[in-house]
Amino acid sequence: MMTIASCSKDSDKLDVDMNSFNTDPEGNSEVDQWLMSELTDPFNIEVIYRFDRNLTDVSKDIAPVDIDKVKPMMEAVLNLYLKPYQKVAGNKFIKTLAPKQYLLYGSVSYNTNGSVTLGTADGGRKVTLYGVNSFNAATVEGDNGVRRKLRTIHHEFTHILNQNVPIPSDFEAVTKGDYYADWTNSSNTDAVAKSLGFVSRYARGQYTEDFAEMTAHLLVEGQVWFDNYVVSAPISAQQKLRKKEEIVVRYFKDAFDVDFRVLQTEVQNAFKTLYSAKDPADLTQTLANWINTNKVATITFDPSSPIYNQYGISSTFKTIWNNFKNAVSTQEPSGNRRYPQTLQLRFSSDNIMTLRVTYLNNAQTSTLFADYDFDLKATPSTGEVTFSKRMPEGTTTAHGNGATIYFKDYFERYLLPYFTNRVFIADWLPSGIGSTDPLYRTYGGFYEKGVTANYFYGPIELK
Amino acid sequence: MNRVFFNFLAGCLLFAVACKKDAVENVFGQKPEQRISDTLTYIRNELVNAPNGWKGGFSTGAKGGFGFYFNFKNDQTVDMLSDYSTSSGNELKSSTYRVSPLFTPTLIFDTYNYITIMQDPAPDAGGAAGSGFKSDIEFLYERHNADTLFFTGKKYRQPFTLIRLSKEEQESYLNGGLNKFNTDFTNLLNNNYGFTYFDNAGGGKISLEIDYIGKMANFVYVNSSGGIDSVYQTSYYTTSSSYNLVKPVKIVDKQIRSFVIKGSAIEGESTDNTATTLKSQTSPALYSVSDAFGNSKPFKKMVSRGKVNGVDANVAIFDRVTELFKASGRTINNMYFTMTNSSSAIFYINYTSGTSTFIASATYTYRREADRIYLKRTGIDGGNNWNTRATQVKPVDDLFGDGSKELEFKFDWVFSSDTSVKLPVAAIRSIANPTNMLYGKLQIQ
Repeated sequence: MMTIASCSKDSDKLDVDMNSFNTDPEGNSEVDQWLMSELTDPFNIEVIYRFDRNLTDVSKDIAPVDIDKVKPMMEAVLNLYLKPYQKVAGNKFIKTLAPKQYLLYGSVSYNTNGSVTLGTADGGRKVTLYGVNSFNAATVEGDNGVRRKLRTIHHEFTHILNQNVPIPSDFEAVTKGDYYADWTNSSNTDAVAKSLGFVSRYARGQYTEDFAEMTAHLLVEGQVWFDNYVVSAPISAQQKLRKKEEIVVRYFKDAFDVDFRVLQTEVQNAFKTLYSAKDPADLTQTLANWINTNKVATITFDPSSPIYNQYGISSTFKTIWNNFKNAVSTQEPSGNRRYPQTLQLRFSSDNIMTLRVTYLNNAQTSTLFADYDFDLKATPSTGEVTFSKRMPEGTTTAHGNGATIYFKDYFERYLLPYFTNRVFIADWLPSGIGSTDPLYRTYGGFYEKGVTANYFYGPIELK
Repeated sequence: MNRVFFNFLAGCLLFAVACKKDAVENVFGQKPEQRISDTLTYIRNELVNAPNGWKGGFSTGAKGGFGFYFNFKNDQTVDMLSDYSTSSGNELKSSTYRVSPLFTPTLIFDTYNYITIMQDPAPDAGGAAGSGFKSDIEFLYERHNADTLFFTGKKYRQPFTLIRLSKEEQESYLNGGLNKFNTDFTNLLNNNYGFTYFDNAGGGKISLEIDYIGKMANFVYVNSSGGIDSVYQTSYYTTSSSYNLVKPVKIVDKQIRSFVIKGSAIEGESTDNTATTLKSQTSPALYSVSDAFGNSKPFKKMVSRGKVNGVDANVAIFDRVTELFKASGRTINNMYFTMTNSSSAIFYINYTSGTSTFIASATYTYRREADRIYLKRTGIDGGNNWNTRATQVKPVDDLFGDGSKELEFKFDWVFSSDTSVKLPVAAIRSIANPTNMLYGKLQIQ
């Protein structure tokens, strides 16, 4: 070319007839028109759905997209990504930063390490989406549902944002030692990734992917999902996930003056109104999580309460209570007799439960307490709660009462084995109080795992 | 044509470098972009100016041939039928196509349709993850004759032809002709024919073996004394009136290109449109397994052909091993038995566990006497995978032994009571217990 240029000085101008320059034919189908009016005209976004080997990895076999999937896929992109950003961050933001080209391929792209690529973002300008043929606009959840595909969209867009404004340096520091390039390795399970403070297996790949995964999950899966995810992770991981969440929210504000929470709500509303998406059951609003986060003060079983006539009582538990009460109140000599009235679970912290028997003294003139300490372990993701006897026993007067001969044998014979020999599930009992009842979440209790007929409950007092 | 074009380009460049731009001589009459443009226009017009549509087919790299019906339209869409499945033979599916000015004018099926199923790398489509059936959706234009356009697949280089249809042929396609021909042909071959062959010159015969599942046809040239002269394999695809061979086969002095039904008989139809009668005999096959299978024989490998109904084997070893690997969470990619030289043989398994690939293999020394083979295991793969996978490879060890002693086997055909089995089932049969055997499909390589 240099030679040509230097030798062509004498000619006036380069004389090439572009009329015979060969190009691909342009399409003007219904889909093409829709893409033009909804994406190209308003957002200056080009959607290339007709197969072009040179726009992807030329050495791989990648199937083209089914033309029937193009519109549903791009409709979801429009509704769940472009429009929420446009509304919250403004026209200028989305028109400047949104990728200018979307490439759609039907199959995923297979990698040599056994993983598959679902999407890529190049140079802040081009997003390639693979696996579009499996997209099912009628389902929200699952591998082929709307959420999964939109996570890829938001993930890739986050990369574009990061290419404009770098990720804050403190983000990488949160889980610095746990990034793992070989993230597809079978040792990196979902559970391992979670326990280390990552929102997905892929997030472990490197911190840039972590950031994109955090953003995509928060926006697409929603806050309830994320809170559930956090609450079911170990404490150390919870802190890391919360820290990352905070950095993501701050990043959007500092870098682009976008209120991430408003954006998140906008995306979630679009999911709910247009795709009938539903939030998962809120694990943070479970009794186990209330106990775990130290919100509950007491749960009291008072057999004289009319609530048990209305909603029933477990005969297994009733037998245990009556056996204990009768043994204490009919023991010999009669001067040892005490009169148990109620049983109360007192949650002094997230891992200690004090079982308190309220009783009348021998003369039945004054009310006293007998206390026993238990170690407590609550798992919010499953609702499971286990108790084990805490040693040494407490030293308060009430603990002293519990250690007297009036109680100790009977406690060890009846109450101790009942509480320590089984796994309980903490739940909003009785089941007769439904979620629309004003009393919902004012009563709670425990049933034996796998044995729903064995339960106890009472009013909850919060701290 | 590509080479000519390149020479021309090279010529242009040389002149340019020599500062003789104005002296460029258009040896081929037109500028290159104009000539490409002419070709593009020609193909685009040809495709849509076929009032009755086209039929076409190709061979894939991994699974035989596939046939199609096409109706190209002006709005860059194309309707298709395919012999891929019964439903794809009945239901027209529409997608887009374009004729693109790439390196060479190229016909690209650029959205999903039946022809892209073979290229689809997702295992759901039926092929291997990452490569499907090893097929193309981009076809480079080569040449044409009166009623045919010739293309070549861009990556896997398989020839692809499009042939104009007549009005009657189009009607046949649109009325379930693909499925009907397939059903008629297989019924006829299964019910009226035993072992099929053509007479060859000089008293020889050419055995025809059709592998319906693999969509391949084997031609084994057997001389008058029963020895095998050569073996020819080609994939075939279905049209509304024939099984078309992707590569024609030479029979006496003719090139047979398809199988057609004439009355209640199947005939080979040659390129000069003459017919050759397909003959049948009940049994045995025209040649023996021991002549066909071995290190210096035409067929080198024995591979799985799926479980064959009506075979009196105790265990379908290839299938059983596949099941056992699958049950242990591993996938077999490749498995075969072969004689690697004149004295050693190998049972080879390549499998995937997690994201890693492993090889488990057992090697044997062998000696042959007439139709007998004597095997003794002498080693396993370089690692220890044959031992760690002992549970999964047990059916193989049960038959071929664990190396403690030499065992005697016989090369044999296995007879299936299922008349739809048209590809002979070859076996290595235990002498001590004749229902213990390794059976499968013989492969050239």
